[in-house]
Amino acid sequence: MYRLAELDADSAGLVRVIDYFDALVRHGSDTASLLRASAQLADCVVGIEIVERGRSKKNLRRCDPRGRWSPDPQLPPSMTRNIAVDDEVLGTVWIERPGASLPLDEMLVDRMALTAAIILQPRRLPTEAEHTRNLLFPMDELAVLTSCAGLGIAPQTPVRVMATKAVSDTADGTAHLVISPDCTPGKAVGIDADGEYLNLVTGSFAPTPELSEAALSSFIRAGISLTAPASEVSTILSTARFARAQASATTPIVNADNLGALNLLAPGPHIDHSRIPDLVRAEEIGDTKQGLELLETLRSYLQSGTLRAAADSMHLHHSSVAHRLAKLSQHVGFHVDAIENRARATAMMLVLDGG
Amino acid sequence: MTTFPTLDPELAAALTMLPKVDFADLPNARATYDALVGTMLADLSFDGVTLRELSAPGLDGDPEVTIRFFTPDNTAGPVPVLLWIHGGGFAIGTAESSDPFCVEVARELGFAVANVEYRLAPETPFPGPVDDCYAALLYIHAHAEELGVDPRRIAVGGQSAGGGLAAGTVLKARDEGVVPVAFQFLEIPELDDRLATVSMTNFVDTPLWHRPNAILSWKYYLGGSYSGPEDPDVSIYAAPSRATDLTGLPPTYLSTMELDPLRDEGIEYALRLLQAGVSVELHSFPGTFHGSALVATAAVSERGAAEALTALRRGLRSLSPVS
Repeated sequence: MYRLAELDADSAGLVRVIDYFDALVRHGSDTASLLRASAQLADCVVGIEIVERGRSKKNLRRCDPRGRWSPDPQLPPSMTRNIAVDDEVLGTVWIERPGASLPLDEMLVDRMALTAAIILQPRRLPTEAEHTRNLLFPMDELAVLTSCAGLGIAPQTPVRVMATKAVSDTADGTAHLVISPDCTPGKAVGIDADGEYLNLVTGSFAPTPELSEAALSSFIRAGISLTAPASEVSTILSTARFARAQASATTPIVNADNLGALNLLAPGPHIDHSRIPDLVRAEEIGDTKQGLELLETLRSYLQSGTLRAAADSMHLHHSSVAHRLAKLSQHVGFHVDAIENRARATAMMLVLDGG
Repeated sequence: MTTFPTLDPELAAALTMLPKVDFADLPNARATYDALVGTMLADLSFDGVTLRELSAPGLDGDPEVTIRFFTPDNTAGPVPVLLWIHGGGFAIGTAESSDPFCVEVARELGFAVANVEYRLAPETPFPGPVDDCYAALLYIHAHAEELGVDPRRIAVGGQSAGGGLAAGTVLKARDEGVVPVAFQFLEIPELDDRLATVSMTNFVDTPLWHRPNAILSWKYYLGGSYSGPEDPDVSIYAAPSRATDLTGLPPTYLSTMELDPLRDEGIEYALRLLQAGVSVELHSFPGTFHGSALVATAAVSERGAAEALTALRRGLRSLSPVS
């Protein structure tokens, strides 16, 4: 098995360490197996000392990576953590790494202490719903990684949020759409958040006609967010809600991808432009001379209002303008000259020109 | 994703740190497995043990079979010998991958160990691999005196696919009647290509070994002429579970793992050996999975390893003097 030294000290590595200790808790570890497993992962001697009131004798255990107890020599701890439950210190854990500490040593002793606390004073583990909620409304970065581990989702996995809500307040507030497990990342589950229902879905998720039918017949409107890595999914939650607000009886499920740069109008945290497919594609097109020409044509078309006016201002035949717009539409993935996309195309150009 | 609530906590934690082996992609599976074992071999000490390579003539004009032959230092007189066959689904692994176990048997029990480098499927399908094991057995028996081993105390053992090859070799030895095998040592053996047991049917995503891998494994091993579990022409030396007569086989130790699709075929084989009058010690370890012994420091693995050594020691203990 991989040892701590072989793991990258990035968010994926941190999640693997969390997951390692979570597995111990899930499967009913005791302190002896916690110590053996910790030594195995750390690949050095680890120890635990538990405070016992009214006893002067030290309740201390040390273990080496081969599972041997009380190994010699006893080195000074290279890193120590208190085992704390509700401000009460139950004892300490430590590792005895000879030489320089590893970048993940700190995470390792943190998790050892946390796991020891759970073993010594059993508490309920967070449910999958709580982990999902933690990802969408995170306290801090560590909480995010903990929930990634709890749900079995690698932090870099691309995911989306689907926000659903019944059309009227009289309808059942918990109304939501059923998402197939194939479209759900890890063990994430749908959660209720202030009368709105939130699902994590995979980055490749696209609503089927059946799902749209189901939304229509149960008077549900849904919005699907832009794509982001699981560890940053909270930053794109607003785009799911924004998309839902645009849903209607004709389009009961709106994908934020199809709102393009208009997503930047969504209230909430700043949205990275690289998450908006329209802007990514427009940037790519802008890298070539021919692409710049296509974008210039759209700019002119949007300013002048008609193909003919754009053609006049560019000294082109109007069919050339139409041809260029069709070509650009192919590249960016939507009809840039369609009336319903007017705002989307304009927003794309505004952001391109403004950035 | 199945979570396997009965999985032992130490094994569950280790599992999060084990690389995934995709048996459908053999070059990759071989490389991943060798790398995994390589780190364990790196700090292996050969103290108290001598290792040399032997070459046994192949069966019926087959190429020579390499044997990694371990002998304990400081012994007097002929010692018992274990013919050992490594695992790897018939298609991956090397004899060297079993060196840590061979060294331990030689050092702790004072036995010689003949670790067979049999040819792998699918490059060499049945009967090549089991013939290589049998050729090694013939060689050890025929050269017992010069190798310093006791020809009346030969055990044949293996792990996983090696367990299946060991059972096949022992059946062949019984039928040929040349080498008297004193003890059969089958760890988590792969015995039955028919894949019909409850564990083999239900365990489709268990760690390290599961039904999809088992299907591939038998396809690799039984070669192009194999038509699947219904094939009536599969040899008992390939799939020992197909043998209808298990009488006359040597005393046996057989271990199985709880979350292993091979669990039930192992237990059934043990049961049928018992019913045929063979003395059997059977042990199923709780909370374990196929190959979980790789996580050697887990308490349940230590228990399993200690018991395996005890069973071997008892299996090849000195025979009572015949008066």
